[in-house]
Amino acid sequence: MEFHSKGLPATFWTVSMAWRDSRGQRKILLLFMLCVAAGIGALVAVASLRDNLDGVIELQSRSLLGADLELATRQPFTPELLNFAQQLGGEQATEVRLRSMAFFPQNGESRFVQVRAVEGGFPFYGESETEPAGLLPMRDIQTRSGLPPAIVENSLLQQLALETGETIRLGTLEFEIAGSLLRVAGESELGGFFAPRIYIRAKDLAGTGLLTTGSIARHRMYFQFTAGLGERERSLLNAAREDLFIESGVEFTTVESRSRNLRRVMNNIFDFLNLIGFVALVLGGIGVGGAVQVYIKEKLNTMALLRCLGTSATTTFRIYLWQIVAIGFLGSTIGSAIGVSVQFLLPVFFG
Amino acid sequence: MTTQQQPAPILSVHDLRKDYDGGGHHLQILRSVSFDLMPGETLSIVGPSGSGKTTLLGLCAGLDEPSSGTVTLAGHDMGTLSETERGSVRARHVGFVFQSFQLIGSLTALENVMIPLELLGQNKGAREKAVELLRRVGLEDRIHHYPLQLSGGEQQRVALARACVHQPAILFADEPTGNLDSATSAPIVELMFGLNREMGTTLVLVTHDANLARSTQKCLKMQDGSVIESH
Ligand SMILES: Nc1ncnc2c1ncn2[C@@H]1O[C@H](COP(=O)(O)OP(=O)(O)OP(=O)(O)O)[C@@H](O)[C@H]1O
Ligand SMILES: [Mg+2]
Repeated sequence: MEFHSKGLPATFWTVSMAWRDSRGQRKILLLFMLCVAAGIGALVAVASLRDNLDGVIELQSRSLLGADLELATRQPFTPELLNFAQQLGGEQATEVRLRSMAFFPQNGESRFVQVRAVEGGFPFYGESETEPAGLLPMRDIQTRSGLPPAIVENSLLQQLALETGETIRLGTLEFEIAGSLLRVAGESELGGFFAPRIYIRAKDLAGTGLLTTGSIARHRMYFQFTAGLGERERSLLNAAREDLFIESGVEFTTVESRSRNLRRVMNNIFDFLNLIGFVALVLGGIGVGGAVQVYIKEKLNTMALLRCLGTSATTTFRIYLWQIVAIGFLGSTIGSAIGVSVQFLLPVFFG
Repeated sequence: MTTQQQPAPILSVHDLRKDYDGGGHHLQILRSVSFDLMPGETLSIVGPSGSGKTTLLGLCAGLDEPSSGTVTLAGHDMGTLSETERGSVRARHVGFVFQSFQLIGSLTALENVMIPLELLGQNKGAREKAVELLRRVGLEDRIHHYPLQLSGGEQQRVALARACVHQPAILFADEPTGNLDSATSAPIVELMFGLNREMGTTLVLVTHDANLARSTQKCLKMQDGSVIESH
């Protein structure tokens, strides 16, 4: 039997039938397509966000830590540890971080804050933002009142309607607000949301009386080496980690270990997001599958008719295959495009 | 038209039976129907509702498979062909008008009529042929309407145009004038018999219309699945 289904003309006809037959149902088909697009879009977005962040961590890992090496303890540095730091050399900075109440005499308010008493040029890498600019790393600032300077989280100042030049009390010592803190290198904006950050000079900490035996505080030492963390520093660290670090309760973080940790956290988050995206896609797929089935059922009469008019089963099948394939293809293409472009939109939302 | 030296029947039905098993009942819808039809002949099938006319027509056109017996259509023993092959025979030789029109709802009247030509790959001039046929059934100003926008009688005329457009050797029509008044049915009847005169198209019509039945050369009278009278 010869039938006209010879190559291209027949394909042309099935495609044109597929197109004509979609009349009146294009809205439904569009909806199917958007479902596919949404699912694919989510997965692609997660995947490409992961790729991007991976690259960012690689590039920015030094400014994420702000130094080449960080040593952290829960008690004041022991003489042995200070000795070890001497041996390491390089540019050094310290920070004591503790939680406390801050009192604002102007309006009688008090707030729970995070006090950071710093000394030296930390952060060595990355840009921090303050108003006026350039207050971090913290230098000796001449205040009008002669009180020691404090740099206070911008959001806190706004909440309490305070301005630079006004007074804040930490423990038993009064400070003058020397500026507001907008962003700290390597920390997210949200960092200061629950406990607003206040920077003071290390030498003023004693005067506050906040740091007494038993206070919960984190002591940190930051190092910057001219050529990054070299062989000499690494072998010193390796030698110390067995005894000195254990005796003095030291945790150390290098640029690599920080980015490794970040990556681990990130991988967990993305595995989770991927799983959610995948489950959503599977559920969406089942939904779209059901809807397509209903759609095809409604088309059964048309199919039967085409068969009565002499169309072969394969040709009839192809007409509807084209429609479904078109939906799938367009849906995934649009989804991928959305997923990729989300990358460029995210920074707008999260700065 | 095909050159046939010694006349062979275009449609030959022999001892055709159709049974349905359903709900514990064994239904005999057709009991041993036989007849021959030569090219260019016209036949009407009459009988009360439920007597098996539509069933017989479907079997003759290869739309359904008989329980036993043979149908030979345009030289093909339909019982030996696959469904796709039967479709191909239909596409080339058969026009069919369903009792319930059966237009494709997503296509316009014109597109519906063009389908048989497109199936045969005769795209050249398809549009003109289809428009001309629609004009002959009085629907020239409705060619771009969808079936839902047409009345029952108009749909039936579109269905007839679709059944004729590829100039089939044999035209089956299930109550082609069933939904029409005498004024609108006249051009329909004229179109079918015109095809018969000009192209030698064989006509098989199921009808309740006694006048129409009288104008065919042959007539089968059916009752309860059997032919009770034939001339
Ligand atoms: N698929 C089927 N299953 C069971 N019974 C069927 C089936 N198709 C038709 N029948 C029965 O076969 C008998 C004949 O049906 P058919 O449609 O051929 O009648 P008809 O002569 O065309 O009637 P009408 O003039 O009302 O159109 C009816 O009793 C019908 O119920
Ligand atoms: Mg009937």
